[in-house]
Amino acid sequence: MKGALRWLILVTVVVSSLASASSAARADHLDAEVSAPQTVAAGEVVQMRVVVRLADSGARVPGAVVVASRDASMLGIDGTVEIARSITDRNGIAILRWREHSGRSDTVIVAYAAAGEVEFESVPESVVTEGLGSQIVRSNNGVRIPGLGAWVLIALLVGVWAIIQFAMIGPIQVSREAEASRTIDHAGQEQVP
Amino acid sequence: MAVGAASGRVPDVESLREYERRLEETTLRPVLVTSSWYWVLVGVLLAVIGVGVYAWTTQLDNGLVVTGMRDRVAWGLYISVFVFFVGISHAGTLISAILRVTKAQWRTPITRIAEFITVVALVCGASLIVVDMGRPDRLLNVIIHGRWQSPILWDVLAITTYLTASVIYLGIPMVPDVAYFRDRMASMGHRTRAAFYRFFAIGWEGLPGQVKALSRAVGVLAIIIIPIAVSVHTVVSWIFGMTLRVGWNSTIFGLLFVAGAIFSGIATLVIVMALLRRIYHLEEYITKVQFVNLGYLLAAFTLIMMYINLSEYLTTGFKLEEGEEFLFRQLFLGQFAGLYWFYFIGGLAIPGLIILFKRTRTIAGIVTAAVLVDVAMFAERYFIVISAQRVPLLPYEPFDYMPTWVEWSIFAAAIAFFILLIAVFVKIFPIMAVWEMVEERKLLGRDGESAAPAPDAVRGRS
Repeated sequence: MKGALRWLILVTVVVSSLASASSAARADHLDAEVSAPQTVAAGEVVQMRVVVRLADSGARVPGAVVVASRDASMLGIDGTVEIARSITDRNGIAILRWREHSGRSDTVIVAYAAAGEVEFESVPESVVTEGLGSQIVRSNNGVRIPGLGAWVLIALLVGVWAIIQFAMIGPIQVSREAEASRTIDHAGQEQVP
Repeated sequence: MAVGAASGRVPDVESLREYERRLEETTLRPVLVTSSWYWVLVGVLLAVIGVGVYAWTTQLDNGLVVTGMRDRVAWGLYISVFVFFVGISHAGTLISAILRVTKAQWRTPITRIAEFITVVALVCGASLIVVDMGRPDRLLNVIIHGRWQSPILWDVLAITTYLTASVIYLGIPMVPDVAYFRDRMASMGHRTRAAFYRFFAIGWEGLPGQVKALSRAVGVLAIIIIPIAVSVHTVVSWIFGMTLRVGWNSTIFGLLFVAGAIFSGIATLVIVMALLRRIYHLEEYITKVQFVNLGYLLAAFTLIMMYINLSEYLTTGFKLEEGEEFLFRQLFLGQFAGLYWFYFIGGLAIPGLIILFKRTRTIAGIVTAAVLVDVAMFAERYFIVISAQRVPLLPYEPFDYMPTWVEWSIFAAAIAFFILLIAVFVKIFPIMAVWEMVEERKLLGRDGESAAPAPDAVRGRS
């Protein structure tokens, strides 16, 4: 009986110690050190470096989830749009990459959480985009095939219309034949006394 | 009575002259004789068009908010009808150009009707684009600010080219027949009408040089108009296919649209042909042969359409991405299921079966099949345009589009306008290609083959 009671106390102590250790870990706040270009051109790929550390000890946190997002509005609905996501490496560094389509200056929210955590902490980061106003830009990665372009379409169109015009020579010839025939008839009538 | 033809021997000169005279009289009759029913029909059509014009003015006054279209479904009934009309405009190309190039002689009596349909359908289709624009005064912006990279500009260019080529292709082979009208009107003392036809006859006298020039022009146009027609409906499909929208993001959309266009074009030709044959007593010239041959083409296209549908939906359905799943549910089981299954069963399977069995392969049967095909193809255009837009691109509620009375009125007006233009055409221009039919009959005689069957025999068979 005593032995069983001793075992029960031991298990209870171990479990509660583990639980308190775990909750202590969860309670630790994280800090993020974000480095990003302050100014990018519309259409460029933005690369953001995020170092995630424990707030208390400053130790780097591997495996933390880092998400970049920004506020957006579409069709009258406001929301947050995720633009990039990454996980910190063993040095606690995550690299976020996205192509900056928007021409506006904007604040990107960088949110981060340790592995297994569901609650994210966040830090705002300002990204200034220059270039094309609010227009969405064309991707630079388009495939350009030498010799192909709008001129092919223009040449095709010109060719088709030239053939249609060529066909129109037919009615003109019909009309000329009639005129020639009338001229001959007229001349023949004049010759007849 | 074509004695030579009836006996299956070479038609002699007398029978040829008799045939030509009878044919010319038949063609001239709609121009000279107008029944009171015709005016009743014109009155009804004008009334329907009037309601449509009123609806359009309402739309111009209040904006597109009077339609069922909103930001989530921005293309509705107008665009569906536009695609349908551009589709049936392929009737002329197929019958007149492809069959002319392949020297299929049975098509000659129906050539002109097919070419009428092409021009009229294109005019109606293009009109609907103007109606679909909230600000039609900005129409020319498509050209002024157009970009060569835009499928919208390609579409404008393709349709303009096709309409121009179709009008010329309708007009040039008509010259000899118009010249006959000119002579007849002059002999009957109709000076104004004679002057009108003189303008379009461009001095045609049937001289060898004129025949040569005309034949060459028709030959060139018959060849060039085929790729133009194919390009038109391909480009129409690209307006949809060059987006990343589920349901439109397809590589075989061009093929689907072109095949569907020819399919509905044949069906419309069969319907118009049957109506004109009945009204103007063209039984001697438009026989069961034309109906059955067009019926065979319809049957072939039912299989082609089924194949394209299978290929399209099986490849996307096998992978079934999230958006595709939504599309499939509404198309096969949900909001559009009635339309889709009517299209597939009523518009593809049943017409194919009607034409397959000899018992139902009659003129009435083929016309029934053609009506089913046309209604089904309209339904197909509708669900292609609308169902894809109903798939949400963001987490919002799908928008249920329903055309309003304004859209239905303009739709009815477009159909009425189509019928009215056909009705006006047949009252002004020769309904059949008389010159070509006589020339072909002469050729048949020279080759020693049997000419077209005699009227009595034809009536008996049909």
